Amino acid sequence: MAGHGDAHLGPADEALLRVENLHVRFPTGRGTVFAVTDVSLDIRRGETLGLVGESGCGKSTTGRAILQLPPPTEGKVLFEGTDLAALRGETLRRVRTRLQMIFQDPISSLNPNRKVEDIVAEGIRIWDPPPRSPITLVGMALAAVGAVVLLLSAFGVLGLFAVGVALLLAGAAVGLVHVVGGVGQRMTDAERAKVHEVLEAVGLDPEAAWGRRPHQFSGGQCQRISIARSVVTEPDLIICDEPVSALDVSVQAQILNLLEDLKARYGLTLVFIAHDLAVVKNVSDRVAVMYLGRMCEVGPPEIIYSRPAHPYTDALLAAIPEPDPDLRHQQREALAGELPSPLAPPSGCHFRTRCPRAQQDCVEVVPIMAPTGDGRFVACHHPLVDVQVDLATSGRAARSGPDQG
Amino acid sequence: MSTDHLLDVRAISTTFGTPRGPVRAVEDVSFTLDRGHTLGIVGESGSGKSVLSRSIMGLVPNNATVTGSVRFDSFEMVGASPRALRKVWGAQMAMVFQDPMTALNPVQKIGQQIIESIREHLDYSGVQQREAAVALLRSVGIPEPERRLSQYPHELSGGMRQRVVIAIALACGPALLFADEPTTALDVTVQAQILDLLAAQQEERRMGVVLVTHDLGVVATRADDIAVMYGGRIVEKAPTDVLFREMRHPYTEALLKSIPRLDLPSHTRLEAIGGRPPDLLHPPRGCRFAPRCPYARERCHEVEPPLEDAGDGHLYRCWYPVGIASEQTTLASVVEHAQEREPGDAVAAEPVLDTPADEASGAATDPPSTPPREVATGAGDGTTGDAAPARDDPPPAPPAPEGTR
Amino acid sequence: MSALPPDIVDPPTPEAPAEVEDAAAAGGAKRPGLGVIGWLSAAWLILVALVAILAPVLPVDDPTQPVRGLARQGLMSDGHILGGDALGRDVLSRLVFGARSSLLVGVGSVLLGLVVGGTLGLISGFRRGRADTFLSSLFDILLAFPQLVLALSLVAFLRPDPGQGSGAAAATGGAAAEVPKSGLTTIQILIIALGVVAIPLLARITRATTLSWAQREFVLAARAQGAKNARLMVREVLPNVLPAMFSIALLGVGVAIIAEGGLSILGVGIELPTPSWGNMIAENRNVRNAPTNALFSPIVAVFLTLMALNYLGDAVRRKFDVRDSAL
Repeated sequence: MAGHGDAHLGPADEALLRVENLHVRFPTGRGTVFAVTDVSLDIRRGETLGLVGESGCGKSTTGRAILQLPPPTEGKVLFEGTDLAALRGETLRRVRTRLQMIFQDPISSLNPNRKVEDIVAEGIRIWDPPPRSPITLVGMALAAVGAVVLLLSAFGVLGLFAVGVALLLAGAAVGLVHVVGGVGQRMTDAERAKVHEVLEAVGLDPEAAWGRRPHQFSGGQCQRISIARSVVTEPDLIICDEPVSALDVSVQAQILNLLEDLKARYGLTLVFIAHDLAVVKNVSDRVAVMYLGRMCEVGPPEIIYSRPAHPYTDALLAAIPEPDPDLRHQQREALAGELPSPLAPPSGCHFRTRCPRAQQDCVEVVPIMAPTGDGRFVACHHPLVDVQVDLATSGRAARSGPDQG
Repeated sequence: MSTDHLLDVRAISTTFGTPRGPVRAVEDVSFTLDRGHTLGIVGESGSGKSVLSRSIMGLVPNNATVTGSVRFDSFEMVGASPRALRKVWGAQMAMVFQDPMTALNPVQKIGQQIIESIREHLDYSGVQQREAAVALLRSVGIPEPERRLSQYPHELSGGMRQRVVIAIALACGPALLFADEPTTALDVTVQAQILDLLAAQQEERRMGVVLVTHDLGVVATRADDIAVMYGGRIVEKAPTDVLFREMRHPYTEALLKSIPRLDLPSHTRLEAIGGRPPDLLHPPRGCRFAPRCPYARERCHEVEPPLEDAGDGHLYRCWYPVGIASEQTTLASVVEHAQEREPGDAVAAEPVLDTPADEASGAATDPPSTPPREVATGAGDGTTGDAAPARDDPPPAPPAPEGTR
Repeated sequence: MSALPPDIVDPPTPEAPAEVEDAAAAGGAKRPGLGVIGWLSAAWLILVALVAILAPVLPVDDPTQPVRGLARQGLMSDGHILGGDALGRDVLSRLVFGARSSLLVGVGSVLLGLVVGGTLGLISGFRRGRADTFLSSLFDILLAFPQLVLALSLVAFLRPDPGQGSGAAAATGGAAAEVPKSGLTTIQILIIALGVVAIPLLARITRATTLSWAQREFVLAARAQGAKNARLMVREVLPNVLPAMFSIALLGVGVAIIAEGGLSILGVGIELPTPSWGNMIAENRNVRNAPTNALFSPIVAVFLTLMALNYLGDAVRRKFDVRDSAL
C-alpha cells in the first residue's frame, strides 16, 4: 500500500539524508522485479530511523540504494543536500566514507584471509595509503629484473632463460605475497591508534584481537569487528542491515546496547533495517513500515505500535508472539494469503490482495502518505486511524499500474 | 490419568567424540510428554536443544553416543536396531526441520516426496497414495493441491515449502511430532500461519508435539510446558504460566530481560547477558551458567546444582534461585525485584567476579546495582575476571561461539 | 581513553572455536598439517628442483656423450648408478639434465597460464557484464580445440624450419647457437604452446572462484569505503582465490610434464640428444628393445614427481579449506 507522496517528509534543510521517489527495478530473465517503488523518507542528524517489513518488502534494497550500491533506477538521494545519484567516480568514492553499512551475516561480511587490524584499517588506508615495506619493494624489483632478463634470453641461451624465470618467480612471489596479503604495509602510528580506539569502542580487547583472523572469533565478536570497521572512517550515517538477526538472543542485546553507545559517542545517525518489530522499536526514534516495495506507514514507534493505522502494520503486530502467556487468548487470526510476486505487484495498493479492508478504490488508485495528526503518516485509503485531510499536502493521486509513481 | 506417557525420556545424554575430546552436548535430560500436549524446549545455540530432539529420535551421526532411556509408547528407542527405528520414523514419530529450503530435495517433485513416506509405511495402491497426498496438501492449507504435486520446491514460496515439509511429516499420522525451529526462517506473518497450522493438526490428530525454538514468544503462546536448556542441561522446566509467573532460574530471568519487548519504550537499555555460552569440551565444574550468572556464589562454581522440585511440575536447577521469596513475580516486576535484592553484597564478598569498575556500563535507565553487568572474560573461556582468580579453572579452551543460529 | 567503558571486553580464543551444535561436524576440523606424506612430497619436489637448477655443476657425466662400454649396461655397472641406455649414455646424468628441461617446461607453462589466465579469469569474474561475455567466449573458443591439436599447431607455428638444426646447439647452451626462425628455443616454444593451452583452463577456474568470492559482503563493505575496482580485486578477492589457484597449478605442472612427453612421442618435444623425462620415455618406448633401466628410470621419476605434486596440491587446498569451513 503504500504509498507515495511526500507529506511525511520534513523541511529539506533539516534533513541529513533525504530520499525522494526512490525506485529500484531489476531486470531478470523472467521480467522486471519491482523491488522498491516510489519510496521517500528523510532522517535528521542524530536520529535512528527504523525500516521494518518482511522479506521482499525492499528494505534492504532501499538501504543499499541509498549507498548507491548499486545506484537506484530512479530517484534522488540527497545527503546534506547533494544528490548522491548524480555523483560519479572519485567524488562518489570520497563521499562513501561518510556513509557506511553493517551487514546481517557477521562472518561473511569479513574477509577470511585478512587480519582483523587490516580489515578495520582498510577504510583509512584507502585514502591514506601507508608506505610499502622494503621487502615488498625488493620483491617487486626482483620481479622486474627477472622480466627483463627473460626478455633478453629470448635472443640468448638456455642458461639465462632459467635464471630469468627463477628471478621472476622469486620476485613475483615475494611481491605478490606482500601486496596481496597486505604483509608489506606497515601500520602508521596514527592508524594503529585509531584501530585501537575503535576496537576498544566496540568492546574487543585490541591486544588480544590483534593479528587474528575472523574465523577465530565468535559470531557476536565478528559483528563487533564489522561495526568497528564501519566507524573507523567516522561516518555521519550508518545503514544497519539486519545487524542482529543472525545472532543469538543474548548476544543481540549486547550488540543493540553497543550500537546505542556508539551512536552517542560518535554522533551517528542510523538507519536500522530489520524484520523484528520489537528490536526495531527498541532502537528507533521513528519507524517506517514497508510492504512489497512501498512504504505503508511512518511515525514514532509508540504511536504506530499502540495504534497502527495501516492494516498491514496491524496484521504484523498481531502476528508477533509475545513472551507473555496471558496474551495467549488474544491471538488473532493470522493474516491470510501469500506475498504477491514482485514481478507483478498488484495494481493500486500493493497490499490490497490480503487486506481485510480493501475496496474498489484500492484497486485503482495508489494511496499517498497522509498525516493522522499525531506525528504519524499512513498511505491507505481506509486506514484504521483517520487521516486529517486538511493537513495533508496535495499529493498526486496516481492512476493504477504497477510502477506508477 | 494413565501413567503411560506417550514419550518418557530419562537421563538422556549425548556425547560427540571429536579429535579434541568428547563434547557433552546433552546431559541428563528427562521429561515426559502426553498425547495432545506440547512441550516447548527453549535455548540458544550451544544449548543442545537440537541435538536433544535428534537424540530422542535416534537421528544422530556416527560419532555420537546416546545413553539413557527413551520410551516411546513402551518401545525403547535408545539402542534399538536401525531397522526397528525405521519402522518408527515417519509412521509414529516425525520431525519438521528448520530450513524448508534444504529440507526438501530440490530435484524431486513435491508429490514424489510426500508419497515416498506413504509408500514406505502404508499399504496403499498408487491411486490411493496420490489421493492421500492431495488430501494432505489440502489439509495443510496449500491451494490447488493437485497442481502442486507436480511442482518442484523452488516453485513454491518459503511458507508453502514449510507447509509441504509439515505435510510430509504428517503423512503417516505420527503420534509424536518434533518441530525443530519450524518457523525461524520464515516471516512473522507466515510464522503465525504455520504455528496455527501445527496447532490445528495437533488437535485434530491428538499428537504430542515437541517445539524446539529460541523464541520465548513462540513457546509462551503455543506450549503447555516449557523446558529451558543451557549448556546441554535442562535448567528449568515448568508449565508455561508457572514459568513466566514464577521463574526460578537466573538464566530464564536473564533471557527474558534481554529481549526487546513491544511494551517497553524506545531506547530502553537491554540487560545483556555478559560472556559467552560454555565450552562443552571443558564445561565449567559447577553450574554451567555460573560464569555468567549475576547471582553466582562460591558454591555455584564448585558444585553443580541438582534438579529441585518446586511442586506443580516446576523443576529447576539452581542453588540460589530467583523469586524464592515466593512472591508472585510478574514480568513487569521482575526488574523491581532485581533492584531490591542486593546480590552485589554477596558477590563482593567473593573474589570471583572481580572485574574492574566496568559494571557501570553506562546503564542510564537501570540502577547500577542491577546484577547482569557485562563481564570481562579475560581468558575467553567462559570463566570470569580479567585477573583470573587463583583457582582451578579449566584450561583456557575455545568456547562455543555465541553465534549464529 | 574511551568515554564509555566497553560493555564486554571479549578477547578471541587462541584456536578456532567449534560450533557446538554441529559438534559432529567438528570431528573433522582438526588442524591440518601437511602430514607425513605431505612433507615427503615437498622434500622430493625440493630435491628435484635443486637437482635441476644445479645440474651443470653436479658431478655427473655429460648427458649427451656416450661412455665407452656402457651401452646397455644395467644398474650399478662400473660406477654408473643407473647404468647406460642403448647408446651408452649415462642414465643418471640424463635423468638429472632431463629434470631441468621437464621442470622448465612444466613450471614455465603453468606460470604463463596462471599469470595470463588467472588475470583474465579474475577480471572476467569480477567485472561481469561485457568483459565477462567477451572473455568467456574467448576461453570457450580455445577450449573447443582438442588440447593436443592446439599444442601441436602452436609448436608448428613457432618452430624453426626443419633443417636449420637448432637442436644440437641448444643442447649445450652454447652462445653460438643458430637463432631459429622464430627466435625462440624449443623449450620456449613448448612453454608458450603448453601455456596457451593452459590459459583457458586456469581462466575458467579462476573465474568460477572469483564469482563466488566477489559476491561476498566484505567486498561490498570495502566498496562502500570507497575502494576502486582494482583495489577490490587485488586486496579482497585475490587472496581468497589464490589458494585454489595454486593447488590447481601444482597439479597442472604434472600434466604439463606428461604433455611434453606426449609431444616428444610425436616428435615435436625437446629434441634429442637433449634429455627430458618425456623424451627419455619416448625414445625408449619400444619396450622390447629398450634397456629396462633406461625406460623405467624416467618413468619412476615422473611418477614420483606427479604423486608429490598431486598430494601437495591437495594438502594446500585442504589447509585453506579448513579456514573457510569454520565460517
